[in-house]
Amino acid sequence: MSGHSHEAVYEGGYTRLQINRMGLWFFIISEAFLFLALHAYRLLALGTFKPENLNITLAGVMTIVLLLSSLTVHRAEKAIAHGDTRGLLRYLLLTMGLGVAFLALMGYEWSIAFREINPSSPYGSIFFLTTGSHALHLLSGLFILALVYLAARRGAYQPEDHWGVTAGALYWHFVDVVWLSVFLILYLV
Amino acid sequence: MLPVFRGLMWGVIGFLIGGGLTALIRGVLGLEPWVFGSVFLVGYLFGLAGWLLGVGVWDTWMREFLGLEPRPYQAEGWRRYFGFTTDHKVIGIQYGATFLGMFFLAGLLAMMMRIELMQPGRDIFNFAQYNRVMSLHGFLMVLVAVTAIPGMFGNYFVPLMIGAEDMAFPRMNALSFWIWPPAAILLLLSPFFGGWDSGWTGYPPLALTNDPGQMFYNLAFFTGGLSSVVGSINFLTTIITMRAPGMTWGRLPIFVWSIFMTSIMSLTATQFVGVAMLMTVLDRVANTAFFDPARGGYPLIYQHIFWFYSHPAVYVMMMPAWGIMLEVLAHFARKPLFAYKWAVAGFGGVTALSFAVWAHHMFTSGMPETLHVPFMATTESISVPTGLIFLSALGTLWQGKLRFKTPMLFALGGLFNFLIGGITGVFNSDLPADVHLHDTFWVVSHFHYTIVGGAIFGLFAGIYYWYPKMVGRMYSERLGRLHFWLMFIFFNLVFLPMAWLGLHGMNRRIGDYPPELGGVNAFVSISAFILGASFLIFLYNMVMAWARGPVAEANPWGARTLEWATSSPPPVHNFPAVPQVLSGPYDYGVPEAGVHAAVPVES
Ligand code: HEM
Ligand SMILES: [Cu+2]
Repeated sequence: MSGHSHEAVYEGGYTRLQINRMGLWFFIISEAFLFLALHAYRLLALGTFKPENLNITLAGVMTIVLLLSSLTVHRAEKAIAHGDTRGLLRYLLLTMGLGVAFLALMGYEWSIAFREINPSSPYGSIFFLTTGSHALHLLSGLFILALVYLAARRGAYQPEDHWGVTAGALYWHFVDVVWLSVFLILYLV
Repeated sequence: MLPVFRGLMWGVIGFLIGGGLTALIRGVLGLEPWVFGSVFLVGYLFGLAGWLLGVGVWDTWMREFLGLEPRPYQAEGWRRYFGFTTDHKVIGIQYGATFLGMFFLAGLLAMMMRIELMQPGRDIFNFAQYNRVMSLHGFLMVLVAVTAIPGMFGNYFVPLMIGAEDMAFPRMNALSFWIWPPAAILLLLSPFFGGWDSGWTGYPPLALTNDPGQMFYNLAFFTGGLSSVVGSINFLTTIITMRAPGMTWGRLPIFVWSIFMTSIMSLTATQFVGVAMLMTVLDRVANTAFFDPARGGYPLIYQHIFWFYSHPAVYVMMMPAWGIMLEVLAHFARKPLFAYKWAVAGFGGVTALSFAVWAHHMFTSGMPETLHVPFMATTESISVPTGLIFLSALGTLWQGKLRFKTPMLFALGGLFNFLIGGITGVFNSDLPADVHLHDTFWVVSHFHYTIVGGAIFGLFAGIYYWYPKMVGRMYSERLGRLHFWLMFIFFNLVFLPMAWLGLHGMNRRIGDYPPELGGVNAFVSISAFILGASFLIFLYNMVMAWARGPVAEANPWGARTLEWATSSPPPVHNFPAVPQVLSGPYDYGVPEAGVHAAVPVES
């Protein structure tokens, strides 16, 4: 094992950063299929049926909140790319705040839906399972951003080396895109 | 303490915390606290988390996340195999030992079924017990067929064959293995909780109304799926980014290609079976209405979601076995792999089409009739890419200098069996025929020809081919051939008559049959016992070789690929430095080719 190089150069010359990013992308593709399966149930079993008392306005507001959070997490990443750790911290906080706001709205939505949409009906079941799975993903996104935040406070990220931030941001964008599909499939079609 | 024991301890603690909390919450809400369903479900999820943290996730990952110094598991000798070891070769052997164990256990269950079926009427089981034994046998075997080759040989040999020092994500690789033991424990415990009787397919509404043992199946399937996803992320990334310089896509060994394509299917389709399992469990414990007709749910949709995974899953079983067979054929025919590019295209075509045929399992399910003809057409068209793979195999044999060593015998036998499996499949996919064939022993014959005859023969071809590399010792060729001939002959004597039995009205998943079929069934049972006994020869051969077989050379077969260019077994990081790949892996007898790769010597 003498002189063993862990900076091995392989065909295509991928850097560790690119390798990590590729792994994350495959994970995201896989998770997309999870939501595809949920949507498949909704469309195959129920077609475009939906109960009348869905609160589309509220869901619209939630969509806007999440889209804003995608913007802020993007700014966070840009900040550290320019070496601005304080900007990074600020935008991370903002993103997490928007995420928490989304979850609060979601909780409110659920508390109404529990009364108005029977969870023991097919639509109710898929409604709670899909929004619940999304909320779990959002919660894990918050957890990741919190870890990134703590690491950033320790000064773990540099302009040329901030994989943790990139990963958290990419995952966060994914969770947002998933919400768009949930909004479309459960509320709009 | 060995990490496995720490994992077990935290698993039990997690189970108690999760289950206890659930009972507590139920009590506070005024529900009956100790119901099996939800208490067991939450207990299991906490137990799974506890097990993973205890066995090594805490030390290797969480500490790093939390800014503490990680404490990777470092051990020598046999202890490496009982902890969160990141060396892909150790992980390959962990997978191999686990899944061969499951294979033999499920084989014993098959022997018990054949005792019951030896003569008409009831002998050792009642109908309910028979179906529970059948279900456990079938599900264990499905897990083995899906996981054994990618887990054992994929992990061990993909990095070696592409000239990498390990997988792209070694810790995730360890994780993918350590997710399995909880699933295995669930299945081993399930008989003590009544087992389940729905077969490996777990259709509702039966799966919603039968004994709680059903949940062991659902949770085990879900857990295994998790591992598949983690594993396939790792394979795809490794194969794309960690190929040695010169290892272009056109020089990739065919086995690596097969794992690549397989991983595409596992990465995506597996999520569907996870969702099917999750929905079933929720219907059982949380009063949801996904599949429960009593609440207006749709049991048929379960079948769509289930088969959207489980049809690709049959190619997840078969494709790596094809990879091994083509690999072995080329090396033992001493010829370039015929039509290499077309074989790869065949893999790609099968992968793509496998997502578009699932409803051929549902011809008699009452699904909309407009779906019948399209799914018949897609299913039959999958013969085209399959044919490409077959032609590559036959062309490789053509005018080759065949060396009939044990691995070669298994590859050839597998090819022959799979041909019969594929032909019986065409009858299944033919709608008018399938209406009669469905749920008979014809189908049992079909899928055993493909899975045992194809995938398991491929697995054993791989075991005999790579054993000297993995263990560093050589087995007895004589016993290997004896095993092959017994397994090949009696496999066919077991499963060919089953096709006939199906045509004569023997239904699957029922522990009895019309009395006039007794004679053939007795013949099948006796053949099955001999088939089972042939594995004792295998075990004896492997154990004796491991204990005191002659030391294996680095390259006992004179094969070109990279795993043979390092010692047997290989050192920790495989090669002294990254090799330089210079020509194709199968260029036997190609005058201008030279060696496959230049491996730097120890400096
Ligand atoms: C890659 C090799 C193959 C494997 C591992 C495989 C495996 C299986 C399995 C496990 C089943 C039974 C599922 C159950 O429990 O109900 C099955 C059924 C079926 N297979 Fe295959 N198969 C393979 C190839 C094929 C091919 C090449 C075709 C068509 C040309 C085919 C067509 C069918 C059909 C239509 C059924 C449904 C039969 C029925 O339930 O009535 N299979 N196969
Ligand atoms: Cu199929």
